[in-house]
Amino acid sequence: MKDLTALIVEDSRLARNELKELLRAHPQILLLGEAENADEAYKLIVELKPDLLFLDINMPGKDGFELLEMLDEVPAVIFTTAYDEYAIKSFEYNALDYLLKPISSERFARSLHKLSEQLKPADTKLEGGRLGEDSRIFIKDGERCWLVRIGDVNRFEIVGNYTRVYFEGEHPMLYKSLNQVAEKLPGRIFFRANRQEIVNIHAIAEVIPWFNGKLKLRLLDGAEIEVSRRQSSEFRDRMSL
Amino acid sequence: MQLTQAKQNRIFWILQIGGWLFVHLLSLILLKEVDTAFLVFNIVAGTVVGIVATTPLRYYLKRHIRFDRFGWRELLRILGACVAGALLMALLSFIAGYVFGRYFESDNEFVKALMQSYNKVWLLIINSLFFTFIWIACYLVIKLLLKLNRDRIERLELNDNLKQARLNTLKGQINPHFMFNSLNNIRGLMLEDVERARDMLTRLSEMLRYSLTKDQVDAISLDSELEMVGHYVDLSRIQFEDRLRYREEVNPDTRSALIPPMLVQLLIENAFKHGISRLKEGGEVFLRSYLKDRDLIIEVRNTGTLELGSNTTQLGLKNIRQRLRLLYGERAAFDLSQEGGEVLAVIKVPQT
Repeated sequence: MKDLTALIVEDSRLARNELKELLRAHPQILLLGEAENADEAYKLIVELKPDLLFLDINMPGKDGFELLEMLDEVPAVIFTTAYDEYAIKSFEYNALDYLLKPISSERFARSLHKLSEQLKPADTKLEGGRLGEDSRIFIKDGERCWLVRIGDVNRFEIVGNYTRVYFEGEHPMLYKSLNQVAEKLPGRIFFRANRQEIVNIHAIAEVIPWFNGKLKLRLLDGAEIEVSRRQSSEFRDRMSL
Repeated sequence: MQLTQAKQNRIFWILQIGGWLFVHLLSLILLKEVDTAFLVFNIVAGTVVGIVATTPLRYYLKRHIRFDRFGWRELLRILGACVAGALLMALLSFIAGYVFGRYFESDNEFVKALMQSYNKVWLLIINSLFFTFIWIACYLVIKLLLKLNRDRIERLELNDNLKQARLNTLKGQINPHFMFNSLNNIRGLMLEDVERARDMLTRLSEMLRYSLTKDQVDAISLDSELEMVGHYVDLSRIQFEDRLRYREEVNPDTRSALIPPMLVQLLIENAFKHGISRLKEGGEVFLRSYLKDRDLIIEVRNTGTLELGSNTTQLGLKNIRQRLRLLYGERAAFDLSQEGGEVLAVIKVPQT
């Protein structure tokens, strides 16, 4: 099992001690630090880039979800909660793991085991400040939450000042502009088709020549996207390589 | 007034026999110049005929007429019953008249004239229809009054049960979030201070016991409630540590005052939630109780601002408000306001 770096985000000191005590049985997890609230945690995450967060949902100031919303890239998360079925149920996609406090050591070990199997090697992660294919972003739209692997997104579409994210039959709104999103996306697999849309190259099912030298893309989910003239020649160049 | 079946039967027979007897005894006044034999026969036979002809109606109506769904069908049934009862009565009257003519001689002119009219069947039928109609009307009116009364009692009982059920849910249990957090914190505390952990476990048990048993009572002394609040504060302290600053100022005269259980608890819980747990630096909560014009006043102040937008708060506050209204009507009061950087909750519980 590969070594993982972790951060505890939890407001109760005794609960942090509890987690540390549980972690003693798992030396492959390297604890980088602990935070009492979301703001402290944000600084530590940006600075230390842990692989894993033990995250309490209820915290003073910003809660666990708000912390995730602040992050460009979300590490693996194991939520720890005393009793909050509602918050856990708001996760629609990417069944994430959560532990109910008090946490049994068996359940804790099982979670860590499951996680280490899921986690991909960290080297595909950041490439010059950009997200990797396996990076995950957190989306909260209304009452529902998603943790989405970048590589699973079919396309991003501009909606006013925000961005709609299409993946596996879902299309929640991300409260960031498309340009903000574009800056962070891995250029290797994402292609700007026009002013409105960014497409995942792996999600393209068919390329159809359109008029005026333009192209049309049919995606795996059935969506059809018209590529602007300039981007069409760019697309041809890229594909011929 | 709710009647058992046996009692209903007894009353029916008293009214049935008494009623018919009374109607026919009226003939003592109406029929002046007739002989005694006719009078006696008229009263006895009339009463018997009346009873025999109308008693089957009772069983018919009882079985087939429901007031809760009264419609054309019911009306037709009643009319049918009326006609059938009248025909039976006419037939019996005719037989009675025949028997009298056959076995009793009378030379009274009036009686002879009367007997003549008995032979006119249509007159008999109209007479009987009149009696049957009056009988059915009386019967239905009595039934209706009894039913209205029964409905009223049922409604009252229902309201009462409903109120009780609502109160029980409103009393609320220990917040599960608090309970599991406490258990987790106690687990953590065991690593550093076993004695204190043991003490906290006992306090949590006390709270659980209180919340399980208080369901049976609507009022409890402030003293018992404060003991419970004390446990709650101590348990919260292991969660919030120095972020929690709590003070209380309890007037000794208020200790025996009666309040609905878990009421102060809910206020404190609310204050901790908004005054402490949401704030990174924590805050202060101040509990005060005193008597004012024989009413108990409980004040809870907490650091923070009033957020009326959030749903969870609304629910807790609505809960407190509803409980007070159900138990004390307009005599209790609950007020929540912002005073500077503090939120002040005031509850008035009447003590008479």
